[in-house]
Amino acid sequence: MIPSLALSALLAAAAIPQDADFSADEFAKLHPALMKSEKWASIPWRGNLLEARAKAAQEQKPVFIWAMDGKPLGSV
Amino acid sequence: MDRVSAFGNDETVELLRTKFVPVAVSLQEELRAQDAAGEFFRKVADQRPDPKHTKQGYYIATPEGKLLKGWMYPRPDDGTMKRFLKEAAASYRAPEGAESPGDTRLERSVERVVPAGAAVVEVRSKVSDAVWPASAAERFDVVKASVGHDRLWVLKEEVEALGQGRVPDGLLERLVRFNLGDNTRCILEKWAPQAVRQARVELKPSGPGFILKGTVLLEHGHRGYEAKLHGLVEVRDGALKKFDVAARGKAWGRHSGVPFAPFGKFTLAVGFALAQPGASFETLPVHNWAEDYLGRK
Repeated sequence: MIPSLALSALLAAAAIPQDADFSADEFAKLHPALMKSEKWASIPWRGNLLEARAKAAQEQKPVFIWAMDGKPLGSV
Repeated sequence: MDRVSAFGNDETVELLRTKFVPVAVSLQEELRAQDAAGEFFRKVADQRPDPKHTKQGYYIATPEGKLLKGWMYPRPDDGTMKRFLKEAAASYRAPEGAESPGDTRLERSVERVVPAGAAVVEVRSKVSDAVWPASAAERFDVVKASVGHDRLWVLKEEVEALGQGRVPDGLLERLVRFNLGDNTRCILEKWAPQAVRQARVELKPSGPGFILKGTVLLEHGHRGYEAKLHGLVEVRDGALKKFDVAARGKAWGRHSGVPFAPFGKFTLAVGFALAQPGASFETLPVHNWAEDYLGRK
């Protein structure tokens, strides 16, 4: 918990200068570029090793495991 | 950060989609887990002879736990991934009469799941306009071009507030402290509360939703980020239908655990969009375990 009043005040919604230099046009270019689909994400990853093992046994396929520090699909 | 080179080939993706059952796991979690999944992972990983300093990397195994291939290097991938997948797919013969394991529930005492009614937002970050230290390492080019990934939870009551044209402090704080930063080379070191020098946003009605505008200044010690936010937010029938937001600005410094960082100030953009159903939705925010992640509502 962060009961800091100072932080609360800093976070409070307030009038934003309308000349903020990040226009709708710039956003329309930047956002799709940032969020474009990535090839690795089109792979039907599972997060549960036991589910993967059961499906592999059922479909007579090997399991492919990608292991890394953090969460492979969600960090870094 | 090597996911692009490892899984960036169409044939590799097709092999994984059709010839294997792919699973992505947290190494530290599986090494510690006292359940059947942890036992299975350790059984497979312990069969890999190299490298000795880490169990990170890739494993191809039978459902019974026999290692067929295991590797981590080279990074970036030089075609090894595709070659090993093809070899394993060609040679694999499923054991006769193998039974599918029944119970697939994990027993993780510390694992969190997406809170009921929460929306999951996918977060990406990208560095540009940066002056990097010189390096002859091929891997360094991959590092510089990498995209950071994370998630943001928007709680049910926060979705309701967004639908009323209000950004709750708890949501703004979570977004700012846990997502606005350079995580392209390592997980983001969360910002301390005192690092938030300014964080202001407003929602203005526009069409079926709202336009989000904001400004943020984060500064703590040697690192900081000063950015503008712009976005489109839409809530319909109590559900978050759109959370297309981007932050763009200048960042500086580096957080602990990151060996490479640009000199001086560099452009950092962070994008947000609703996660798709499936593994992307179920992927947890990196800092979900932090006691202050959901600290304020």
